[in-house]
Amino acid sequence: MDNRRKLFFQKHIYDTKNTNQLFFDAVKENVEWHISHCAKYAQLMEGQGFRLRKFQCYDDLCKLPPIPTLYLKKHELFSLPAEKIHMQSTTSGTSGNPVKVGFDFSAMILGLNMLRKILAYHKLPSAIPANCIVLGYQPSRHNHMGAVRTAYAATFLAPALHREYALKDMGTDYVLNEDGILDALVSYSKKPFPVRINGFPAYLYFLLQKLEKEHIQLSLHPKSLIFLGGGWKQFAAQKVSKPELYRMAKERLGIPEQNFREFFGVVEHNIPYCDCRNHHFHVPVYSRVLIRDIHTLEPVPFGRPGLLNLVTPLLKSMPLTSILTDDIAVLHDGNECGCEIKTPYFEVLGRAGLQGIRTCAAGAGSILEAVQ
Amino acid sequence: MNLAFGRMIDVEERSRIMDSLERSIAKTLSKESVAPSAVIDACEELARSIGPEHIELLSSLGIPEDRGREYLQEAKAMLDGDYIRYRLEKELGAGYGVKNTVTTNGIRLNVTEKVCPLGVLLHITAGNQYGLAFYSVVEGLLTGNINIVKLSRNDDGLSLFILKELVRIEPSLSEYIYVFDYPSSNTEEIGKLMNIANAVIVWGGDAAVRAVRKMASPNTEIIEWGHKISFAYVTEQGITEKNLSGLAENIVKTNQLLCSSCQGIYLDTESMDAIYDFCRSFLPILDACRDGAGTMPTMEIAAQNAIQLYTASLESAENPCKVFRGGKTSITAYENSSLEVSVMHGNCWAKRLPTKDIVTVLHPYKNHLQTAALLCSETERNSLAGRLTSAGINRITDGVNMSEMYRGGAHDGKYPLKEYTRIVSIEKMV
Repeated sequence: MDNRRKLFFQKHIYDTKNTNQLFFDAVKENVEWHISHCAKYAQLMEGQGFRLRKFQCYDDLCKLPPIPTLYLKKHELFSLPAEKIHMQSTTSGTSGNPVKVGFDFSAMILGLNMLRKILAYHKLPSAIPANCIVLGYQPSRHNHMGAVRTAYAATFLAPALHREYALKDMGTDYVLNEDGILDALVSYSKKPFPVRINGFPAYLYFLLQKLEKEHIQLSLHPKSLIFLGGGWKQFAAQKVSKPELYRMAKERLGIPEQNFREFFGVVEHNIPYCDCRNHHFHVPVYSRVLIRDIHTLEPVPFGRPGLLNLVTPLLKSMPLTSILTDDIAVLHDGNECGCEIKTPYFEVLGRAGLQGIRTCAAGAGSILEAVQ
Repeated sequence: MNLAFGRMIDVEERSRIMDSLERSIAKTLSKESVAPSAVIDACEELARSIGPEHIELLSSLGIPEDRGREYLQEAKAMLDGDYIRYRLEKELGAGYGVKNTVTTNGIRLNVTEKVCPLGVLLHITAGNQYGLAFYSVVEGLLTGNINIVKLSRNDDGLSLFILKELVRIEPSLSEYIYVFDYPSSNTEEIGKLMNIANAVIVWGGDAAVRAVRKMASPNTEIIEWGHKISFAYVTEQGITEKNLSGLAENIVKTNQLLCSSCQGIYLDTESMDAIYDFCRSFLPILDACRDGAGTMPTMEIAAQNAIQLYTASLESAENPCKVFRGGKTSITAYENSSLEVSVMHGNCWAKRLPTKDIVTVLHPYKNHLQTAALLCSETERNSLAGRLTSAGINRITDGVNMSEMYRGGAHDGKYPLKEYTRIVSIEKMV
């Protein structure tokens, strides 16, 4: 069995301490594969002065030059021919071109196994049928966004009686289904089944605000759950804290804080992070997280904010072993959390970029691409 | 936030007003258009009422105190009666609003000409400048137009507040100002507004301009104040400490965020070694300037800069470049000569552009070009300015003054008031 398989078939998903060597071996194997199968990647590594023979132990992980998601918006990197790449997922492309990520067959199998284990660990699947509200897009043939698939997949964690989407597919376009969601919630609240709400935090916030404005107070089944994914960054403008959202959900829907589950994921990285009971994203065996200094990109210790660098040897299809996201995050020692998981956990603080900054020269960027 | 007839209106009232908008506008158009003097008086009174207490108001809108103070000062200057009168005369000619008798040459026609408003202007504003919608409307009012504003999604409410004040001072302006906050996705309502307007004034990036061009009918004129890009052009003789310090000051002070900010430097050379030498000598000047002035980038911006510079170094295999990093600034020397936006915030580029290639390389960017800082010797200046002008540049300055405004200066090569008016010719009865 190769090291990648060994890693993804680990029994304990949060036993990173005892898998450091295995993780490093799998990463090295993976990097070797990509260097020999993707000429462009080999060239990038060479250009950054990376030498495989000097990549020798777990502590060397930070020496592997990460690929920024920004780079992937402009360039394609593949280590396998198109016919060997299955199931493509795309990023939303809100800040640039969407990035397509494809899986090799074995990564798909390993990924599904990993997903099953993570969901089981966090006790998300349930045999009790549930009604589902998806606060996002209805899946359709013309939409391949990773976030859409995740939200849809989440409705299968319990036998779904009915699904209602905030953005309904009209064939080529989407329409906002605000009334449909409200009607569905009211009708679900009268049924003897749990309700599972999933989607973007911002959408949940708008929904709760709407309920507040219309003085609607529901008491959903006590086993109802809220799954959030896609980050809290949209909240920057609304200045709503997580505790405020928990309070509103308790008041308007009768869903307590402990029934909130949050996911963090990056399409280019493919490892889902599910929060613990203290709402922290702990690092599972399948990946390692580095935080890099916002000026020098050198790794920083626990507690210091920087750019989130995610490492996993999952894919053979694309050299996405080490990805530099544009999320600004901080990594904490696992023991500070207080839950039963002891691996380090990260907190996303914000996002690199010009959000909220007023600029006209930045807008000119799109200009010039068109000319070139 | 919506405003009509001098008062804030809710969504229901807005839809009632929309239903009868064409009729209301026709009624206003049937009257004599608003006199510039009434608008000037109102502006002057408004300028007088601006005081330190408004800084607090601005900070409640999320505008930092020092920026707020600067903004108020700017507003006072822009609303000054003498300044406005000077603009009217400069942009529209002496005796604006007065009928002018013209006897046409050789033909038996006896006509009077008059500068008249276009009629109805729809201002589609961008959120990148405080109070932009307000200034745009004032220009529309000065030229006698009825103004409908579609506020940008991230408008801070400042424009609406000042427009309301203006109408309070001069109630006769109330039927000349409508502000609606329809989101850009509401193409149906925006389409209706476009149909009513004689001209759509669009502020913003290419996406906004493209969207407006797509929506507007051929019967509606489009006036575009799109995003522009600026740079410096430097010859060997222009490389002096004073010139480079001035350029560094523009880069640091504006954080390269303005249309007129220097994004990068073109050198009159064919040699990459000359570019590298320039980077080595300019970097300490840029760094020293950063230490002395300008606001330091936030964590988000610093992180973005780091990602962009790192990405450029990854891309250097295909797009050869060399990054020269200073303490808090950088210069990326590229082998290509294409015009591009820099990483900004003190991170510029340097590229080769021999004099003979100026027009060939830059003309493709034609309407996106704005200012060029020209650093060269006195003897080179005329001919280089000529080439830059032919390429499409609208303003030529030295380094430090790239983003400095002056009284009555043209906006992106045009006089706005002229854009918002037309010449009407009326033949005299014999």
